[in-house]
Amino acid sequence: MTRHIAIIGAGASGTLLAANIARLAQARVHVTLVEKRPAIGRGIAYAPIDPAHLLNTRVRNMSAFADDPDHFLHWLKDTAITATPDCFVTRECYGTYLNHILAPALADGRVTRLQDDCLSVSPTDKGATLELESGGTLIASAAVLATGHLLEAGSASGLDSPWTTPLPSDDRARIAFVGTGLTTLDWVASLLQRGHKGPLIALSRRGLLPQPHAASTPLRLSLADIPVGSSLLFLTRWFRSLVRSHTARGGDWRDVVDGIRPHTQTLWRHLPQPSRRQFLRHLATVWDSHRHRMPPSTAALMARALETGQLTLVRGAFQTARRDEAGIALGYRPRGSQRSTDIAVDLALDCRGIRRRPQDTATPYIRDLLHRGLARVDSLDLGLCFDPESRLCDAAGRPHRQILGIGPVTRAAFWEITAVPDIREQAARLAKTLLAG
Amino acid sequence: MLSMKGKYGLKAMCHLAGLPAGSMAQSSEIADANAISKKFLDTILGDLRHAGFVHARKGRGGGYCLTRPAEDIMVGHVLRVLDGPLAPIHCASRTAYHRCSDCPDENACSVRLTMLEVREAIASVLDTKSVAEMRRMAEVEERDAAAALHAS
Repeated sequence: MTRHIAIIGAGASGTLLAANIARLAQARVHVTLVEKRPAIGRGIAYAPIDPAHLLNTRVRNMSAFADDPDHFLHWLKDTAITATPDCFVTRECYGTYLNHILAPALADGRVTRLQDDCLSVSPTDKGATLELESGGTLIASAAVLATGHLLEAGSASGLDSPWTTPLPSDDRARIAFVGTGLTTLDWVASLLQRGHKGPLIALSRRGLLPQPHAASTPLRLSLADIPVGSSLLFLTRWFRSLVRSHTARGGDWRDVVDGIRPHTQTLWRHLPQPSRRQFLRHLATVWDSHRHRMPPSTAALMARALETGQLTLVRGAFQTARRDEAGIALGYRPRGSQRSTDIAVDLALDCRGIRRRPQDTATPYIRDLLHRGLARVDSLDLGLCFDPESRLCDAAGRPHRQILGIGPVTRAAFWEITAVPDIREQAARLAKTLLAG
Repeated sequence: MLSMKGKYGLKAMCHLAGLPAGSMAQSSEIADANAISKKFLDTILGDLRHAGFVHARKGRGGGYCLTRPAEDIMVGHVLRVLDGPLAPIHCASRTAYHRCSDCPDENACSVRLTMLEVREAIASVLDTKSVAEMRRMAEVEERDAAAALHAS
């Protein structure tokens, strides 16, 4: 009997999984990609508002296949795009690559795509059933949630989305960004390259910009070296002393951060619950600014904009965004102050990143799963609960046999599951599991 | 390499894992039951407290207890805190590295390279065995030994 696998979402995660399945499968397996957008591989990450936006990961780490690390580099060469393993290519280009890796399977029918929205997923004796917006029903041997980040509907905050709002045509517009991470930098870089003249204000609690990338030789740490299972305090001390001793020997802190990278999922799994909470509250932003770094060209651009004063960093807590005829009044409380204050801008963008209350998600079938007790949100509000094999857990914590998840939707189980190097590993594992039944 | 510190630390963790919920054990009690010097044990319990494995409370009714279920604490967690990186010989660690005094070139040392592999295996065993399981193993052995004695 042919196994039929339904993947909900054809952004990077869904596409990577479909491509990994197609690569392993001989016959007897069929994949349906359910995606409401017209394009494949164009989720938040790879449907940039500006085609010049760069990846934040080097070419050498972006292959779609964990066991073929040079696949992306070879594709770039074949496509006559100049690239080295260490360079940063555009997001646009990676979206094209994702389409390319799926093309053969789409052509010979092993994978079909369905332009539709999934409204509900239900477990059945033999697999799972999907109800679609068009009124249809899809019966599958297994369903995989590949919905990406669970973002809320519209803009309850009064801010606009940086991923769908087009770059403004008025080059004198005053633009504010809430958040000082990579999304803000993408925008600022685009605006500056287009010769924007208006002031740019970036607001965040600590005003931490991402650190710049630099040549790094990751420490080859083994899990045997890392004190997994100990408290956050112990772990942080250990980490800081390792950075100190490594830099004292002439190394770079990036070597240590990148040396930990392969083990972050294991670290997270063994980290006690109170420590996880402390990490999210106190350390996550600092870690993220060192872990999610910016390409050197972006760093140079930012330094210049800060120097000329066109870009200002404001430290404070965002409170409200009120819209009136004159524009937007962005309310915030400056760091160390009790009183709120306003700045008047023409456009205010929500660049606070991808960690949101999963209960507020706009995705209809996720709301439905939660409503019916077929899924639950983890105690840290990171996302839905999945078991270590990426199977979705119901309200009582029991895993569904044939409903799985891939990519950022599984963040609560793995923490570090946003970037392609992590997702492709998960895709390779899931492809094996799914083919085995 | 398992040091005395690591060994005694595991024994103390095992002891604490056997306590009824909500109760605490004093360090003198743990020391007596496991034939460990109290002074040494106090240092070890201090380290375990710093790493978040045990709670300590002073005064009457005070003592030590585990911070989380013994099922969630792996043997490997405890050993890394007490003995440093898991490694069968000192040079087989990349963070707490000590070269052997008689070694001309550690990068080409076949023993070291083999031991680097061995410690991956050590980690995979010790990171899946919980303190609770360790305690159960001992209880089963004890019961079997008693049964054998009874049968003979």
